[in-house]
Amino acid sequence: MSAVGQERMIEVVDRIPEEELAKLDPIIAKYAHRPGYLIPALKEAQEIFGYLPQEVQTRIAHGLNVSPSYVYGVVSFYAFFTMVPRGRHTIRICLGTACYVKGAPEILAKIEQELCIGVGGTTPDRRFTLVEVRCLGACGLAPVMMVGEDTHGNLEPGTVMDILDQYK
Amino acid sequence: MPRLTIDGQVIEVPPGTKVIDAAEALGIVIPRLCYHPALGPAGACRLCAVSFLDGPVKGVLMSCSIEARDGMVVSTEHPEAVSFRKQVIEWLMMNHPHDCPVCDEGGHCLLQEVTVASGHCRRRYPGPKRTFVDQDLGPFVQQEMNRCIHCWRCRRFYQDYAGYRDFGALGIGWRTYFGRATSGVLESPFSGNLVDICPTGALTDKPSRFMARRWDVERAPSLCIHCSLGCNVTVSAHLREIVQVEARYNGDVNGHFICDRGRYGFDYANHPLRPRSPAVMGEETSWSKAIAQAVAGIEEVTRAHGPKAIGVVSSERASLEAMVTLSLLCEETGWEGPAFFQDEETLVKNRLLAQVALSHGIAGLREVEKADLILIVGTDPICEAPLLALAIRQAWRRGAWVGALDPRPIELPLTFEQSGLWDEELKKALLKGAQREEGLEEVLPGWKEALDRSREIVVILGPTVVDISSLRRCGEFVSKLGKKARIFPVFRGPNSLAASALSRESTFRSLARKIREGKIKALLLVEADPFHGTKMRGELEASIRSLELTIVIDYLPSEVVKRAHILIPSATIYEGGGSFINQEGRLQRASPVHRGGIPLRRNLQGNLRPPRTFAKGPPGETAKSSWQVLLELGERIGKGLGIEDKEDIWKVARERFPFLWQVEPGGRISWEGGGVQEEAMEEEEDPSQSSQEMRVLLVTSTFAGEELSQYSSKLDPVRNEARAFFNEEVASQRGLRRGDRIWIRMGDVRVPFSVKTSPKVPSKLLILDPGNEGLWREVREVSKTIGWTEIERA
Ligand code: SF4
Ligand code: SF4
Ligand code: FES
Ligand code: FES
Repeated sequence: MSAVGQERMIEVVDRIPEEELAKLDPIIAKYAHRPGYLIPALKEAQEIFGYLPQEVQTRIAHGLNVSPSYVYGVVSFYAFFTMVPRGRHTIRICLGTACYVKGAPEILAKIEQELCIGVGGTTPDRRFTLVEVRCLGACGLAPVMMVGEDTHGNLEPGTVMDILDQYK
Repeated sequence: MPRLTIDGQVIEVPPGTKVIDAAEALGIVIPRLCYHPALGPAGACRLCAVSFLDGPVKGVLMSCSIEARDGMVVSTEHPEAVSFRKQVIEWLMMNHPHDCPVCDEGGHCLLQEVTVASGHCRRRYPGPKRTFVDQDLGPFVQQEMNRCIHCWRCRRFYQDYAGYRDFGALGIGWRTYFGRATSGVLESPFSGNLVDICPTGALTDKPSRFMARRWDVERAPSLCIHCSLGCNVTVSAHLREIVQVEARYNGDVNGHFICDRGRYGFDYANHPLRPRSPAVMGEETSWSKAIAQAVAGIEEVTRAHGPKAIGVVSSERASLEAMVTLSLLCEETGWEGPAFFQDEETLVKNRLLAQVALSHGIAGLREVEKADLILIVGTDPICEAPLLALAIRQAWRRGAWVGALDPRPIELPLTFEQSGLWDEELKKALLKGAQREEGLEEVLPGWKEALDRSREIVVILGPTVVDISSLRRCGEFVSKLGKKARIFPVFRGPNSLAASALSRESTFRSLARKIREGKIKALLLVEADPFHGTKMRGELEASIRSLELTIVIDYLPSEVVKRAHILIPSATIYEGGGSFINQEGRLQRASPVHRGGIPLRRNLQGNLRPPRTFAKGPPGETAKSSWQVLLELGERIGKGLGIEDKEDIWKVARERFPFLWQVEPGGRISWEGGGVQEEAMEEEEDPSQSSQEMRVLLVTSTFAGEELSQYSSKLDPVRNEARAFFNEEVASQRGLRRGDRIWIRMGDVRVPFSVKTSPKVPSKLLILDPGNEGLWREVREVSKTIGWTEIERA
């Protein structure tokens, strides 16, 4: 249970230079004053930056004429949006019942130890982000994890790192 | 009407009633955390579970979300329901801190109450608790998110009910966070209600934080006298200090809520400079000496110049008891007055407004909530009667159309049409409206359509910016709309309606004229400060200075108090109570909350610092209600009124002023208005027609400008700076932009303002909001018009 702890709602992230932020302008122009298009706007913004820091949210809020708190509410609601930079590959390790009894905790421990990150963390080289999920719908292959779009089953602590090595 | 059985008792309720309310009607209170009558059900806390044993639905279900239907058999005490509720509490407490002793809500906490009631006392889950980082939400609301149980009441009030967006629900699931995107002052002038509705210590009152437990305070039902709505409040006092004001439910008036001006404006009663002891020529003296001096002074002036040489001034904030005593005393003695209003124009406007409203069916907040067409004329609700804005919003949420005719850039938490009309244009528009039903369509697009489908219309009308003939026009206009239209008058003070009913011809201006002519030699001022908001400071100072005798009875450290020859401190509403008649003519009564006296302030270590004076009673407790002082004065000059106590005043008043008093408190008075002299006012000619100058309109804002709350330190952090509103185009022609700093020269002083622009402001108008600067403190005379040569960039 590593998710418990100080739940920081406001992440302090690095300042984004103005010229980077300007990349948002076409999106804002497209959806200006149309609060109903907040989610597509955020999605496109996340495609540009990889994540949605505070400044990006504020700029979109003003552009679409909604309050920053509202934007923040949406961003923090959907798991799809992230306010911290993600790695190039997302490891989704399943901790659902089937995987759990077939040894997922050991797999998770191994990955955490090898990558030196906990659940929710990102490696300093931005190669991997590690998240946990409940049941990927592939219980027959338990324990299971996904790396990006690929599913890997029948994992064993001894070989799991070989799989990850394929992702650069 | 559905008939159902709850715990063996049968009850019939109107269709649509929720089971939780049906039970309450029987006296059975089902535990709840998220349900709130004003906010409706959310089904978020699961605590109101009861067993439905028979009827259209069965099983353990949420009584707040289910409407009562015929044949339901409900048990609130069924073991299944009881154990369900018990588990809910245990789940809620899993993440909740177990430290009520250091929580400010402890002692009046709904969560604490239901937890104790459920018998939950031992935590079985050993894991860590969910924790959050708190935000600073400004001077009023203290947040402690770890105590949140996710009932959503705050979000539902703040965004849905009140219509502000800067505070809300963030995140998802157990991480849901109720706060703002970043720390900062809450933008809503109704933010204090979060404190009342949050059922836990997650949102508590910051100004009274850690001052006292609920059972340690003296509490009493009181009234808010910071505007004319007369919202009902409960006031708490501790160690001779008023510490907190909360909303008190009154379904006829304010409902469940009040505004932040009403909630945090109380601190004038604790003001360090508040007059606490009688004084003669600035020297503190004993009660009996001050009265003796006053009596001697009055007798001397009377002997030399006759009773007409004594002028009596009071104001719209005086209680009905004071007003009545003063009126009777003037009759008895032949003194000049009492004057309740600044000048003739204000008096006539107030009377006219009362008359127009009373003869067309007067509306209160409930009628506004039910209306489907609301027209605001010459009122800025958020500034002049804040809670009115919430009532308008409730109507709007149900589909009402809202339009406004006012030159100020009005802000309301809803979508509405506004036309920035003023003076001639406003008169013309109203005339058109009075001639043809759809006459307003030109200035307010959508009016006609709204009018066609409307069933109940409320016209909100205020006397500050519209002139006399427009007020009258408005009356005609409303008659044209017929039976379905009512008028909601917005007055300036908490007792304006009574003041206009009890006023004779005197106004402060007319007394001042007589002072200049040498006819008046002495002034008795009862809870009135003519300096507050005056535009003619210079003139006023000269008149006051020329007086032989100035007796002031007041509780504010006001400007006229500083100039009094004889000062007699009076009790505030918190010590003396009092009756007030609100804008819809409702007679309401406030009880005394505490005895008063100089507050015992704590130092930072929590130690009490009693003032080091020794006397029998608490220091500074000598204040009596102003009507008591007046009775004593009358008695001593041989003009006793035969009145002993409040009951006597009420008895006499009931005979003498039946139109004000023949109702029980809580009812509406039967006065029909009247006493408006048609010829009273000649219209002033418009000086700006010919010149380049802009006419000046002085306005007030929510937290600056109201007399009592001006002295409340609790509101200091939210008071706005002085603002000057220009027409957008005019300003840009002159190179002024929103936020620029300017100086405006008035006489020999330069006053700083921050520029605001809006397309709604008429181009020949300059709207000045003195904000916390209190323009009248320095400016000898506020000009009627201002030219561009008097404006310079800072
Ligand atoms: S902060 Fe209070 S009102 Fe808001 S959801 Fe939490 S417990 Fe309920
Ligand atoms: S709306 Fe008026 S009466 Fe009501 S709380 Fe606010 S200031 Fe007081
Ligand atoms: S439990 Fe892991 S895939 Fe279903
Ligand atoms: S009161 Fe019914 S679910 Fe909360």
